[in-house]
Amino acid sequence: MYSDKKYLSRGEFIEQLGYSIEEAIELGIAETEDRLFFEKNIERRTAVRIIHEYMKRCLNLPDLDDISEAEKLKDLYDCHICVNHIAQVFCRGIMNEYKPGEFGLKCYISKEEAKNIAKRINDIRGLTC
Amino acid sequence: MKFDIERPYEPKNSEYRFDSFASGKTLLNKKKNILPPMGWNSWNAFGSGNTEKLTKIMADCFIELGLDKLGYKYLVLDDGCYLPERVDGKVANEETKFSQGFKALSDYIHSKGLKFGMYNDVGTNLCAGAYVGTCGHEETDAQCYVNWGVDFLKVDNCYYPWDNATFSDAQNARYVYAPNIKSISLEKVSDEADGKASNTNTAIKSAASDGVLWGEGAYVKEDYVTSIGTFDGTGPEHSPVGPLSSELRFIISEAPGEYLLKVEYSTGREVGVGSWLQIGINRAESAEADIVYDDFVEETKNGSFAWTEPIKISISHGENIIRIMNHRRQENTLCSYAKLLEGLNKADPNHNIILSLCEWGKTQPHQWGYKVGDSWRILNDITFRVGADGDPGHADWESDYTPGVAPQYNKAVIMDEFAGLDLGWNDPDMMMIGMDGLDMTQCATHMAMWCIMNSPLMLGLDLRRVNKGDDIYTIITNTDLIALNQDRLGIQGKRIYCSNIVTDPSTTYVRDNKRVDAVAKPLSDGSVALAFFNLDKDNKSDSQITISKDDIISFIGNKMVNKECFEKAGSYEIRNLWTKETATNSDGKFTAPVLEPCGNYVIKITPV
Repeated sequence: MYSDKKYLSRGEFIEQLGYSIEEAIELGIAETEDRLFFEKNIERRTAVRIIHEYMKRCLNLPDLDDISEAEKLKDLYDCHICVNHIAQVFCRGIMNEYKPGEFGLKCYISKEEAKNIAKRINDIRGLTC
Repeated sequence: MKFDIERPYEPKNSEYRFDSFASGKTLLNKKKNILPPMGWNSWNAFGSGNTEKLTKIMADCFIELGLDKLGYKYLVLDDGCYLPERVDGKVANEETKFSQGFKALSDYIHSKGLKFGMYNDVGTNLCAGAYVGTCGHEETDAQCYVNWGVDFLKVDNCYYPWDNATFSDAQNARYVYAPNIKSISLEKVSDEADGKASNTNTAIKSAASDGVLWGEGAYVKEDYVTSIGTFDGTGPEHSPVGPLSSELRFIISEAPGEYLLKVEYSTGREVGVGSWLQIGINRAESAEADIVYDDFVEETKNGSFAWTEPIKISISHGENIIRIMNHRRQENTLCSYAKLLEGLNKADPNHNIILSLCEWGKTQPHQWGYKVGDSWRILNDITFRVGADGDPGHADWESDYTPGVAPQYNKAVIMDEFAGLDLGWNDPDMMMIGMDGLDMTQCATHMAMWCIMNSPLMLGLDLRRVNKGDDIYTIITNTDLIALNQDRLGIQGKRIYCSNIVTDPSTTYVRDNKRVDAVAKPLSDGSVALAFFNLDKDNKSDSQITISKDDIISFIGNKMVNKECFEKAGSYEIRNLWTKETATNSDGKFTAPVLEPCGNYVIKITPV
C-alpha cells in the first residue's frame, strides 16, 4: 500500500480507509481538491478533515459535544475551517499532538503515524459494528 | 505595476494611510447609506458541502416562507463552490456541486426577486484551500463577478501573503511589525536659514530614554523598544475601543533645517519584531505625517543591531515629531480590499455590490473598513461546528474564545461609534438560530441582539427545517425587531447599562457574562428601542432593572431625532416587541422584569 517515500500522500491516506478517490468523493469523505492533489504529501489538517468526514458518514459517529480537551492545542484556532475536524479527531484519540501543546496543522504524516492512525480507526470501527 | 508576491500593494495616496482612518473619507467612490444587509449564507448551514441544488432550494424557501417580503434578500455562496485551481486564469465552478455554473444560479436567484452573493479571499487561496484567492487577480475576478451578476461579495483573509494570517507563513509577521529600535541619530546637513552646511555634532537619541511610546502594544525591553505594530484583533482578548497600535516617537527640538536621520534597529520575522519600517515626520501640528521611509530594512542576524542608511529629512519651525512605526497590518489589508473594489468599479462603474470584509477583526477593520467596505467582521468565527445537509451544526451561547453568541455580542456592543449609514456595519458573524446547542430563549435573544446592534442579519440554517408559525419562524420573522435593524436613522444601539461594572457601560469591554445589559437605540420616528439582555446562561437576573428617560437621554440624546420631545413628553407608549402588547407609561421609568437565563426584554418607547 505504501510507497517508498517517507510521508503518506493524500491518495494513500484515503486508500488506507478502504476507498478509491472517486468513491471517497462520492461519499463526501474527500473533496475535489483531494483528487487534484492526490499524490501530494498529506498534511495533518487535511487528514483530520478526511477522518472526521469518514467518522460521520461511514461510521455514523456523532460529534462529541465536549471538545475542551482540544483547547490545550495552541494552534487549534489557527485554521477556522479545521477547528472542529481537529477537535473531534483529537478528542477521540485518533491523532495526537504533533508536539506538546501543538497539533501541527501543516506537518506531513509519516508512514509510522499512518499505521497508528489506521489502528485507532480500526479500533473505533470495531466498537461501532 | 507588475504583481510581485513579495511586495504588498502600495498605498496610492494619504487616504490609504493610518493617519486618514479617522477622516471619514471613503475611497474609490464607495457608495454609502446602505442599511445592514439581510439574507442567508451557506457556511453555517452546509459548510463546504453547499451545492447548487441546495442553494436553489433555499431560494425557494425564501419565497415560501415569505422571507423576501421581510427584507431577507441576499443568498450568499460561501467557501466550497470553486474548482481548486483557476481555469484559464479565472475562478470556475466546482463541476459536481455547481454543474450549471454561477451565472445560471445567479439567474435563478434573480428570477425569484432575490440577490446573489459569492465569496472569495484577498489572499492567494481560500480558507478551504482552493488556489483561487483574488491576490494578484483582483481585476480578472471582479470582471467575473460582475459578469455573473453578483450583488454581494464576502471576502476572507486566509493565506494573505503580507501578514501572518491564517495559513500564511508565520514569518509574514515581518511585514507588519517594525524592527526593534534602539536609537536614532540626527546629523544636521544645512541650516534652514541659509542652506549652508552645518558643523553641528550628530545627536543620538535613545529609544528607551528619549523616545515616547504612543498607543498600546510597544514597550521598552532592556535598552530598546519592541512590538511596534497593530494588535491582532482576531481573538477576544483586546477591547476594540482605544488605541490598537503603537509607535515610537521622538519630539524634536533641533533647529530647523535639513538633517540626515539614521535608525539603529534589529529585525525579526515573528510577532512583535518585523523587518518593515515606516518613518513619518509630523511638522508643526500637522495631522498627517510626511512618510519619509516605508519599506523593508536590511535584515540583521541573531538579534544584532545595525544602522539604516541615512535618510534626508527636513525639520521645520515649531514642534516636529519623528514617528517610528508600522501600520502596514491595516494599510496592506486596506489596499488589498481597495484593489478588489477598483476591479469591480472598472468592470461596472455603476455596480451596487455589497462588500463584506471578512478578515475576522485581525486588522481592526472598524477603524478603516468603511473606506472600501460595507461591513467588517470583528472576531474569529461564531461557530467552528458548521452544519451539512442533514446536520444542523452546533452553536454555543458562550466560550472562552470567539465561538458563541455572547463573545461576539460582548465586542460588538461597544463598537456602536464605528458604525453608521456613512460608514458601514460591525459584523459579529452570521446567525446561528436553528443550529443545535441554542434553545429558543437563546435564539430569540441572539436575534434581538443582532437587530439592535445593526448587525448584518445573515441566516445560517437549512431553511427546510423551518415551517411557518414554528418557533424559529416566529423569531426570524419578528417584523418589529427587523424594523429596528432596518430603521432609516441607521444608528447602532448603545449599551447604557451593564450590571457588573461601574465604568462607562458604552465603552467598557466586559467578558464576564454574569450580568444584565441595557441597550438603547434611537429611531427615525422619534422613538427609542430599549433592550435588556441577561447574558447569564445559568441564572435568572437578580432583580428587575429600571432605566429612566434621563439615563437614555444622557447616552443617546445627541443622536435622537427630537430629544426635546422625548424628554418632555407627558407619557410614553410602550410596545413589547415580542408579545406586541402595548401600555402607557407616564413616569419616564422603564423597568424590565426578572429575565430568564439568556433572556431578553425589548420595548419600543414612543413619546405621546
